[in-house]
Amino acid sequence: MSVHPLPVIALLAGLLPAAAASAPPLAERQSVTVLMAHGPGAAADAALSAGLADYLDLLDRRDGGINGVRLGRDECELAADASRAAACLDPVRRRGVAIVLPPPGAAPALLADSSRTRRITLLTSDDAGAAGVDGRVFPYAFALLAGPLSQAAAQLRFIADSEGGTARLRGKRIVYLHADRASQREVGELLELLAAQHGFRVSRHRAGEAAGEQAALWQSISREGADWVLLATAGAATTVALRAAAGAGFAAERIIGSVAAGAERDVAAAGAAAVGYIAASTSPIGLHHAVVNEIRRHVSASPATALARDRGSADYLRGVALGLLVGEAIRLAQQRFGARALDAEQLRWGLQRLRLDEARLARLGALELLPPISTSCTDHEGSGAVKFQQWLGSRWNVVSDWISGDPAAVARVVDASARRHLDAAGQPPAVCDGD
Amino acid sequence: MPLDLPGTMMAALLTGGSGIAPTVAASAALPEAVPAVAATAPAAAAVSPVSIEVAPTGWADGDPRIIRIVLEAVAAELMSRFPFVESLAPIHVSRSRFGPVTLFERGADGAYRIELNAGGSEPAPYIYEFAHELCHVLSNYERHHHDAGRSRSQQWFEEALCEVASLYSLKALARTWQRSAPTAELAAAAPGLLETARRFQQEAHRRLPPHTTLAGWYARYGRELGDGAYDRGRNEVVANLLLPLFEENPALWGAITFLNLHPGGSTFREYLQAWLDSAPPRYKDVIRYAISLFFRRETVAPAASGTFPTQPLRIIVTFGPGGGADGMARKLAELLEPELGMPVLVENVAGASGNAGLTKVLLSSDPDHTLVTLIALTAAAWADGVGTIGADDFTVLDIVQQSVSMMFAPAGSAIVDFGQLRAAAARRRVGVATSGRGTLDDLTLGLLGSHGLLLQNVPFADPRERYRSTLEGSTELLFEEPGDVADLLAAGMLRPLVVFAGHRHAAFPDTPAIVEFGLAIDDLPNFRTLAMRAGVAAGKVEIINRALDAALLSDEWQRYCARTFSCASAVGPAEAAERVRALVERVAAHRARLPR
Repeated sequence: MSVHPLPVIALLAGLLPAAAASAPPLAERQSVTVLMAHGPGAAADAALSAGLADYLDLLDRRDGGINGVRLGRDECELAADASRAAACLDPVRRRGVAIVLPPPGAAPALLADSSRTRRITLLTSDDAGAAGVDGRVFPYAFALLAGPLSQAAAQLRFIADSEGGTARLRGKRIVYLHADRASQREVGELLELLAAQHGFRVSRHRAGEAAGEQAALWQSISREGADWVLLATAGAATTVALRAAAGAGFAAERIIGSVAAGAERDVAAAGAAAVGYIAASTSPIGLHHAVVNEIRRHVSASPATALARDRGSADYLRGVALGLLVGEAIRLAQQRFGARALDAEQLRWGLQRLRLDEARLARLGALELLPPISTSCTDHEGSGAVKFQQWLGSRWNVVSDWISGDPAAVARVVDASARRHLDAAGQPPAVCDGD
Repeated sequence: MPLDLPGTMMAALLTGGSGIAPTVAASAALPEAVPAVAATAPAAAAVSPVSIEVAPTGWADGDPRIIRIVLEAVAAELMSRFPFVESLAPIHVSRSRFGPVTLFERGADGAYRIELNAGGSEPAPYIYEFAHELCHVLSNYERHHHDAGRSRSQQWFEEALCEVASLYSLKALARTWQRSAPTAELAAAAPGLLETARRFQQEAHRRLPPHTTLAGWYARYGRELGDGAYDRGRNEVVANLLLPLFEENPALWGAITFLNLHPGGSTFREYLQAWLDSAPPRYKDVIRYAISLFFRRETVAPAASGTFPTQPLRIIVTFGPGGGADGMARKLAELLEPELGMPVLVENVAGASGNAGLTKVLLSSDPDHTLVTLIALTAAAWADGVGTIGADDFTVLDIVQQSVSMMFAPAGSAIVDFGQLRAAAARRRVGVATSGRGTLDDLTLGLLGSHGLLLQNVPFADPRERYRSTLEGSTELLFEEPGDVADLLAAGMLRPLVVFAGHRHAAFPDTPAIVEFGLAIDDLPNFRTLAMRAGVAAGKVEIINRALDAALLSDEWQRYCARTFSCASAVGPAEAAERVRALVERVAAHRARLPR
């Protein structure tokens, strides 16, 4: 499997070794390193990184940092190979804390590498599968808000709601169309579990970026009389899928995309074929998110200004939401460890103790940007809820409230997956101290 | 023309007066004002319902005694149509070159002061002018003095009505005096009165252009009418059209007693709606009919419209069944069907604070036949960051309902008033069932929170679940509009604790307004509109709008909105859209002020 270029944002705790959590602070400043990506997916990753960086810049410029600890930012470019990724990651690791936003498909290698040895925090909101949810398996991986399992469960729930209730799923034919990704097996298991429970039929297909291949696939889907398609693609594969669906006469409003399948540029590229298409979002589109208005007010001189046109895009808003969660984790950890630059372990401590209810979200200006979240060592997701957005031809509009799928079913698949990972690695589960 | 300045200041106001009767030649040597002295009326005078004193001099060759008889006859005729006017202060009448005018400033004894321009021995000018001024007195003209802004912009309508009073009195007295006149001279003058009235009515400038309805004419000239109360030419057009209505329905005069009683709103429709709201039930039908002349254009029957609508219409309700928006849509569907000559179906598409249904309209393959509920709650959610659509994506037809929001507790709750709620919410978090996050409900709870009340928003998109949660105790309170829970209130299952408005609700006089507790949470109006997708052809929107006008003026709708405490003043598409936009801005501003 090829390793995609990696956008990385690193919070550098001076030169402190990761284990020096109890040492007195050496610096009142944490620098942030943004590792920009090139090649396929670069635009999405850049918008995501910009959102995260902009939020941290907002804290710096508006609030003077977090409890007086200011946040700076550096950039580093990654090439599309694993050795270059390591070359970029290693110095970051040596200097302290790194937060990585792995693009779709890159997570497994990073998870394996970073889980215990590198202590690099992965915000794997899309591709980690079960592994990113249970902190006892990968302590530094966080599938914050909703990983692929929760997304798929919510997609099914949305379909059930559209049909008039879960009872009406019986007899329906649902297609799971996915990219070649780490979580496909686990999502498939979840869908089979729910299919048995609710009486619908599910079939799985891999969707590549080749138009000819997808055209044949969609003709087949249409011929078989599929009622709904769960689309779990990213980048050009999404564009190709929507065009092929239209070509096969499959209605766009019966295609329910995952978060990664909801990037504007991919959907817009499908033109009229995409009108009516619906996709999940952990950070839904809105014209009046107060926190984004704050960013516009305070961060106009940010290096991310070049990405201003992307401010408000689905990927950018995801980045802002992740930045907000990182900021809150730092704030929490500072309450425990003092107002100083944090190391990887301290940041992890904060990330798995997030408690953001509606009131806190409202105060942060993000009431509608992300759902209430409550993380723990065993729940690195914290919510599992998504909203659904429908494509109007040039923009999304929100068409659902926060929707969670079947948490019990998701938990069953997560447990099974966690056991498999630990067995394969020959490791015991990490200890959840104090949780 | 009522004026609020003393006589010596009136010269500057001479322009724009309600005019001199065309048959009367104004004297160049009239005194500014002649003190009123009671004239002795002949024994044959009609029994006047009001004491009228006529200045003893200044009428050229007019006899003040006869003038008084004429004026008393006008008062007797006109006031017989005003059953609610039991007594009126005396009226002092004098002649002035600045007349005819009714002064806001009364005499020392509280008497009304009317100055006429008429003079001489012909009764017609006196009848014409005095009837007009007496009409002002009877239509609460003094309210203008205290509401110099808004209602004055609608004073043209009162001027038109009083022109009707002039014509009506001329014709009525002509008929009366032909049968029985106070004097032989007045009996002889009766045919002249009729002729004067007819001549006025036939003047070319008083007529509508061919093939024009009053509503169409008003749509064209409404702005100009509002800009100047004394545009006699246009006021007389309206008067000419209203006169037959008053002749056929003399009861309408009684309704004028309630004009200007509680002037409200900034538009003519709001002004008329306030008239309708103020009037007792016996007058509502005739007032509605009068309103419909201005706003209900000719009903478009399918055969007449020819091309639209061509198939059944749909109203997409953006919330679940059983709630206020649902009730509104279903009632309107019922009322729109006969107007449009097509079935009107209702479909509930709930989700995302109304955005799911609105999105469906934007994606509709048949936007011409698709209506949608667009309500304040959704606009508030936009302000909080929900979605990317706004008022500009829609043609907002009108404000259909408006209501205050209230907080309710179930009948058995330990929280029986707002004071107890405050005390409880200061100690612990109190769950409140609302319609969603990011809604007006949510914001109101946030604003209460900024005043120290710990309130937990427990959202329910489905209204029935929302109500059930409070009644069954899973939430302690319910945030809702009273009309949406009218049945539960009538059954005594809910108790109102507070109304979020600047004053108490007339239907809940014992329930305090939030401002009584020093909390200024009274500027988040709850309204419901009906809308279509932007870009639908104007002609089709107009047909829907006319049908909607008719539906909203119907007795059935008026009963419905009264029962649900939600009657609204129609404001038209532009103003309705502006209110949606303004609410988004206001909510965003409130949010920005909440502590971060």
